[in-house]
Amino acid sequence: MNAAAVLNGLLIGGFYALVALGLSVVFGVLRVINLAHGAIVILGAYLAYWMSAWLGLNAFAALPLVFVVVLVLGYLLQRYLLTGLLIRRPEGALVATFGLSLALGGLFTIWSGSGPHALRGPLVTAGISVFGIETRAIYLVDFGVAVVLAAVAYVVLNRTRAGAIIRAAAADTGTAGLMGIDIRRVYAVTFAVSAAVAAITGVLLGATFSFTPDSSTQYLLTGIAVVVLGGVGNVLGTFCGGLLLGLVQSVAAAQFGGGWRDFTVYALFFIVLAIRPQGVFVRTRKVTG
Amino acid sequence: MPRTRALRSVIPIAAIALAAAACGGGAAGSADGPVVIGASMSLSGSLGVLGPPLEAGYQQAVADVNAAGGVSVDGTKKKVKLVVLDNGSDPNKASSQARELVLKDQAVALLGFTTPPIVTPTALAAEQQRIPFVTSLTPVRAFQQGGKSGWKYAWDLFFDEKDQAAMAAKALAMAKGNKKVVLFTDNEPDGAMERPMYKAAFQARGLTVAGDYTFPVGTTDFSSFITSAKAKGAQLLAAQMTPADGVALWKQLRSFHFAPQAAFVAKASDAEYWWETLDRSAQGTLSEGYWSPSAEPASAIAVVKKTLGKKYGMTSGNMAGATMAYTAATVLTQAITRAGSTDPDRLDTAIGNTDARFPGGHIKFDRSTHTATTPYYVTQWQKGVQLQVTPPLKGVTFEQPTAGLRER
Repeated sequence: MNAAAVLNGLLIGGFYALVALGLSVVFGVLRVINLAHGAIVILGAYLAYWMSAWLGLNAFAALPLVFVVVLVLGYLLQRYLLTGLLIRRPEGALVATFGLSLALGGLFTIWSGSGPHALRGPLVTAGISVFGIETRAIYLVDFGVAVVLAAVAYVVLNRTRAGAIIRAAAADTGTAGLMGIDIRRVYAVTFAVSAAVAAITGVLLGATFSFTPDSSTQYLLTGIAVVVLGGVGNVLGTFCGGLLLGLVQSVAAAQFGGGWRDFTVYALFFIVLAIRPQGVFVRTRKVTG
Repeated sequence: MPRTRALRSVIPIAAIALAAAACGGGAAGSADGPVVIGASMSLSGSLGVLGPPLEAGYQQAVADVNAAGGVSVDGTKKKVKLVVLDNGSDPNKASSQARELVLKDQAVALLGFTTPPIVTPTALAAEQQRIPFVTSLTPVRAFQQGGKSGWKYAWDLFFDEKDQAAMAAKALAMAKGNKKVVLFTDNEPDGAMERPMYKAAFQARGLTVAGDYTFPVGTTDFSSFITSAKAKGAQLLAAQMTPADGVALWKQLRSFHFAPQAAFVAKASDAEYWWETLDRSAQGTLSEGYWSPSAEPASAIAVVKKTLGKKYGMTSGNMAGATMAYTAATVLTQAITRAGSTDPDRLDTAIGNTDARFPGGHIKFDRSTHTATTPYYVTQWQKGVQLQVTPPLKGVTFEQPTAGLRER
């Protein structure tokens, strides 16, 4: 097997995990597929692009600002629009996120046109050798950020009081509400942090590849594929699902040609849906009599 | 009584039929109003970046014909009105808008946009409506392939894909090095069609195809292909891909230190965003040119030089697009005057009889294919502008190796 394809596939898989992280958490806690997730990823890329154009910031300098801006926007959006819809009827929130996705796509086009953009910054076009295999420095950055954010998300969700509250809200909103948990706030914070992580992913996307207003769908689909592979709301599963997706894509392209790249991914997607709909990386408990 | 009832039931049907007759028959248009020409264009969506210069070309052509008094229809001069709808780069929408322009706006003819995925469904809708359709910016073989049973009302003026492949091969053969070329093509219809043409043209020029990589549109990671290309020792690169994928490939070529002697990329690199997005990494990229101001007589291009030329700069990719659009619109308006009518069949015959020089070149349609072939050039990005390098132009040097990919 081609060692370069394996290494690059795993590193890109880290980026895919990052794409899916927020989607998985929102799906796991709010029980809604955020159809605006891809657009929020691309929003991060455009915010960094605009900050670069207006403030002269490079991609990495823009990261903290993008995080804060989208965190606030995400909180307000969930608190004052989506939660109300979600509590009434989940389909309302689903449609609203789709509408949000369309609206954001329109804004990107109006403000920056339909052409491709890419972010500039250190490491963006740098190469590096890992175990004697050539790769891109930015792939390592993406992978490192994915590892850190997945680890932080895992620890927060599983080892902290805040995480216990979120898990309680995810498990049973009614009981959690009776226990004094402010469900609306939990939803808003979860959505805001997930959106901010998606926006960070967008900045890295802009530095690593390129983006247009139409890129949203591509990354939403990538996110959904990873969530299906890894298991809904399962942070470590999502991370491993991303790695699996990147690896399969890269090895398929190297071994059989680029035309097989998408086929193998969707084949894997359907096989997993058919055999393990709960996700490849979710442990199933045996019920004993 | 039964007769009265029968009459009553006939009246609404007759009224509807009369109303339909009054509203329909878009080709007839309004007797007193302007002559309406419609265009479904991609002003947003994935192809939206290509829309504004083409729209500007159409608008300028209409403004110029109106400034000259308009078109002659039935012995009287009439102004031309251009109705443009944004199809959002959606082929289905382009098709339905073509019908809307004919049925609702009473367009007597339609102008096209660019690329086969948008032009073909629009042209097919025009054929269904029996309304003349003129387009440019769609390579002629792809256009012919779109009309499976032959075109009747649709016409295209642009370059031939075989010329494109031959010119790309000629440019790459001019580069120093080992003559090994790697080919990157996506799976869009034009990429699939032109891939064998590129390979044949490279072999004809004595180049060896060391790597042949195909991939779906939207591919982000090209690392396995680049690693393979390097391992094969290729020193030349040719690609045909969408703008977003092209930008991603170029960034990765730099990361993997693959700096070919010459690198040609069609479709992705022929507009200003190539330089704006990649900056110095774009230096030396061989790109495509389908219009060269230096190849046309000064008298033919004077009309666009003072308007579109001022807006876009004469050598820019946007200017080439705008000029070809201007040419398509002028071919149509001149045909209306020659036909002296907006009758679809008379207008169609007049379009087919076109044989004249326009800003975009000499246009003479082949009646069997409904296409007019215009020249193809290879250009090179040098300090933010595209300069023609094949055929060679006096005062322009073909820079090699590809400096933007070599820079550290």
